Amino acid sequence: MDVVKADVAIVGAGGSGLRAAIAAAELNPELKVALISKVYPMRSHTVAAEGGAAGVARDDDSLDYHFHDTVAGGDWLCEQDVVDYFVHNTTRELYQLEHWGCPWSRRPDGRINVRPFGGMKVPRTWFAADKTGFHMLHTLFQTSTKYKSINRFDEHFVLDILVKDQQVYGVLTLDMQNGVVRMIQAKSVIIATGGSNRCYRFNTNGGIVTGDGMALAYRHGVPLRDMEFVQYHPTGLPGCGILMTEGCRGEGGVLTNKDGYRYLQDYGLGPETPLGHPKSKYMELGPRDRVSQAFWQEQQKGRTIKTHLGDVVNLDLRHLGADYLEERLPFICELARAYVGVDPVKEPVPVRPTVHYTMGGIETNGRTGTRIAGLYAAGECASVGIHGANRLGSNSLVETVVFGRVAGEEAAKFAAENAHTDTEPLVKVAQESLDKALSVVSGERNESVSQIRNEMGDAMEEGIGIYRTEESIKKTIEKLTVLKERYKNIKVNDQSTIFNTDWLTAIELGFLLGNAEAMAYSALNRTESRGSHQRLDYTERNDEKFLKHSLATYNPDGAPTITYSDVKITKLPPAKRVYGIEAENAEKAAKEAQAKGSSINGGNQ
Amino acid sequence: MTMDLDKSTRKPFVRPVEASWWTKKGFYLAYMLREGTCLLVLAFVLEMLGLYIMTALHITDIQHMNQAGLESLQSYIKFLGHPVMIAFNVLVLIAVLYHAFTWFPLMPKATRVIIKDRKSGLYKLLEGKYLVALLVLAFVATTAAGIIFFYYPQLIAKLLTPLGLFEDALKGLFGSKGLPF
Amino acid sequence: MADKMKITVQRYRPEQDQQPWDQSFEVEYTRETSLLEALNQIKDTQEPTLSFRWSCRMAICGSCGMMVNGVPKLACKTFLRDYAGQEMRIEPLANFPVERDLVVDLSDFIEKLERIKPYIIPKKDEPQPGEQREYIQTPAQLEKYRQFSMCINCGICYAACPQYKINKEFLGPAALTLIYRYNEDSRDGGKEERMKLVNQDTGVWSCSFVGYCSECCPKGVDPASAIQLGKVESAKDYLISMFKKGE
Repeated sequence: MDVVKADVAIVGAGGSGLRAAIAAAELNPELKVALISKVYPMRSHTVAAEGGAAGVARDDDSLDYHFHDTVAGGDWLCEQDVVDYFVHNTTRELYQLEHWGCPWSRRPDGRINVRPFGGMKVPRTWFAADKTGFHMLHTLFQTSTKYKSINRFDEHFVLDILVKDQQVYGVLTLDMQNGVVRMIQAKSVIIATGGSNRCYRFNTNGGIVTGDGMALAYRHGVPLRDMEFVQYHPTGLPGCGILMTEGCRGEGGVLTNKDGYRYLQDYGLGPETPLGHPKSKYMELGPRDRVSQAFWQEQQKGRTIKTHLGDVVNLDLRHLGADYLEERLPFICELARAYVGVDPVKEPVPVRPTVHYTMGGIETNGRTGTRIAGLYAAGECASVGIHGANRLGSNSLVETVVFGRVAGEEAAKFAAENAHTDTEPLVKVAQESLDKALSVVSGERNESVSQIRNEMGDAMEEGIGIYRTEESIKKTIEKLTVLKERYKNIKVNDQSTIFNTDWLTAIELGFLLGNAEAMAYSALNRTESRGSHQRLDYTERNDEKFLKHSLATYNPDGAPTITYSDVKITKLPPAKRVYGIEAENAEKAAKEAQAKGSSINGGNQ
Repeated sequence: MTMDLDKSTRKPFVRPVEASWWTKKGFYLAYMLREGTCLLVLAFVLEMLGLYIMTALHITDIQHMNQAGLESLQSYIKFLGHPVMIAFNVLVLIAVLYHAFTWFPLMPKATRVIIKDRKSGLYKLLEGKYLVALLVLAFVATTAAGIIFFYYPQLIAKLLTPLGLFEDALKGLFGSKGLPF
Repeated sequence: MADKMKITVQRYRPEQDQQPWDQSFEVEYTRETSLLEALNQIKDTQEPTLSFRWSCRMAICGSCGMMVNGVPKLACKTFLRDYAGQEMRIEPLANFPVERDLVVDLSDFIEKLERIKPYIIPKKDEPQPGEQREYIQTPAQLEKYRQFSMCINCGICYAACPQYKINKEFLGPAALTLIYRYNEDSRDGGKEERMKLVNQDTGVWSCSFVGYCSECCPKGVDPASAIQLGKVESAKDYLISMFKKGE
């Protein structure tokens, strides 16, 4: 087995992984950083993020507002101390990207421009037209080439992390191009592998978003936290699920049902705002969970539009005009034209909610550390605690750089304080992992990867979708149990060592099945409705019992164990989550109360 | 499974480049033809040069041409009137037009026009005033060529001397002392 | 109603084959079916050992470049409906070594992207903005390079380029475009360093302006334009250096 020694190994080279690598290289140029990814860095799914990244930039905005929007948007399931660190560091990181060359869209005076996004009090979304993730990722990748201590391992599939006595010692990789296994011995490891949304059939995600890192940490005993909170983005294209950014609505796009009626006003987001004048936290600028749920309600009432690609509503952008669309939303226009044959300048775009983001993930502390010494996690794969039960649009792109940096620095410090151990025993551990990975493909088998994957995706959509019930979740769990059993009999036809995608997709399916189970059991046990987790059989939020994080702990044979941990509340006590006119009234009441002398946290600064 | 993951079995296949690659795609063929027009243009330049030599070398002073000059000019004009030469010239015209028209969409790539903070195109800038642009260009080009050819024949002669061309004729023209510059 | 399409894919399995061979499949398709979906359909139901790269499905990750009837394209942005009544022949991206099936070796391309110093090199004589401040860059200054920052690194322009076909030392369209993108960025001060690469024989002057790269670029980056503009810069550089020598 080929062995490479590094100080810090980073798994995943998207926004978080690249930022972590740069942070480690800058903090301590003596350290050897191994940046490992199963694809070339610029293929990472950060590339597909469109709308933007949140950071307080305007004079009428404040860190407190960002804090409040995030915590309320997350239905109070956020770690408030972590959110506090987050909002204090977003802008600095976004300026850092600017200094590295990110082509942010500008105001006429040459300063950064921001656009409104859902659930935001004041516009604070930095954007590079509608390709923000693309530009951030390429900026980070290109900047990373400046650092000699960053050694990239492109197209290296991570088969396992090497853990002994609750400490991590490296990773086992498969060099896909050369067809050899390579153990990368490291003093610290960062997991930055993104979400697990390929558990679902219809999603906005790339084929690579299979939750590899989550699954690996999970199998080694790190709990997956808050996995029941899966974000449905309200506006995906029907059929393929391709994302139509929230920026569409931020720029003034509206959602209408089959009668041309702006139905969001019926779901606590009204009253209706004038066309072309989007108002923060009103109507189309409501948070994603609410807007997606409104679609489901409309569908139940039979007010959605039936097409050969399923039920849709209309995202109408026509009033924005060709020039403005070409400047602000060129990619959206390109995508709609290519994938559904609709020109947004002339026709409304058909959209439906689509799985978009895994709010939960590898449990970490506020400094990205996990329960395993030397193991860190950042980005979508991690649950650092800023998204709670519903992530605000544009918080995740900036999360990648804020916590990518933290992870890079923490892992670098850990690596500097620790020495390499003997390689031989680790090779033995690695060999065991490899044998396990290879066992997937030996013997007489007959189950098809794609069939199990599709059945899993459908079961997740049906049972753990926008709305859930005990019955629907249990049905999905039953299905997952059967699929896991069938997975043991999976057939891999390809026996080549070079770019054997047949084998690798089988391994990825194994990752997905485990993650899906964590989602399902976490959802079953949370008998309340909160944020993106809406139970038709428990329609109210239950703070007494469930103002807690779910922790799914892996059991090799059988269902995960679900336990709970406390949520850190610092300055914003749980309150009713309101938008539209209700929010305005609540704010007025709060101000009046403040004027009367009582102290209310989280208001104006 | 019998995978050997310790030793690479990698064996990239490099596809050979066929000499005829440019005939396999219309776009490449069109490009090669455009590049090929330069040969015809070169032949045309030689034709023009012949005309020039037949006349300019027999100019005794700036206004007059000697008898030998007139005769050689007439014979050259007769040569140009040959059907083969006419066909050749038509071919040159077609080639030049082909070059011009296929060059037309490519040329703006070498320019960068930004109007009101947005990228614009060279032709958009001209807004259809192509005829004006063409006339201005033609006027400038012919004036420049006229000035060079008729007032600085020696310059042309000097440019040709290193090639060892027309040495005798030049000597005859400017006397045995050689070139006056 | 689903129509049917015959798709012939060039296969190459390094462990078994001495050279590539063809395998044909028939797939059903609808108005929305992309070539990528068709290939996945083939992999899922007919030939699981067929290898190709893909991820985002929305023409932004740059993974799925391949030759479609001789034209380099992104599989995810190629639709079967546009080939109705014809057959489709899929080959790996031209001008790159074939690793396996539709997977090519991109390492030369990636190395070139890295070689050109694709990052902001701060100007020596100007102060950098602080941690909480941006460089001032007007929309007009942004526009000077914006289009050239849209490259998704799919490698299609290298497959389109006859110069790269016959000379692998040529820096190539995407790398030269990236140089121009950074050189024209008002925040950057690294032009002088990068111009050394531009001026080399393997730089812009290896380009004979075929223009097919721009024709094929799936993102409208127009690398041929960046290279011609690079030639203007290189010529200026040459003239200036002539004067400097005279000093």
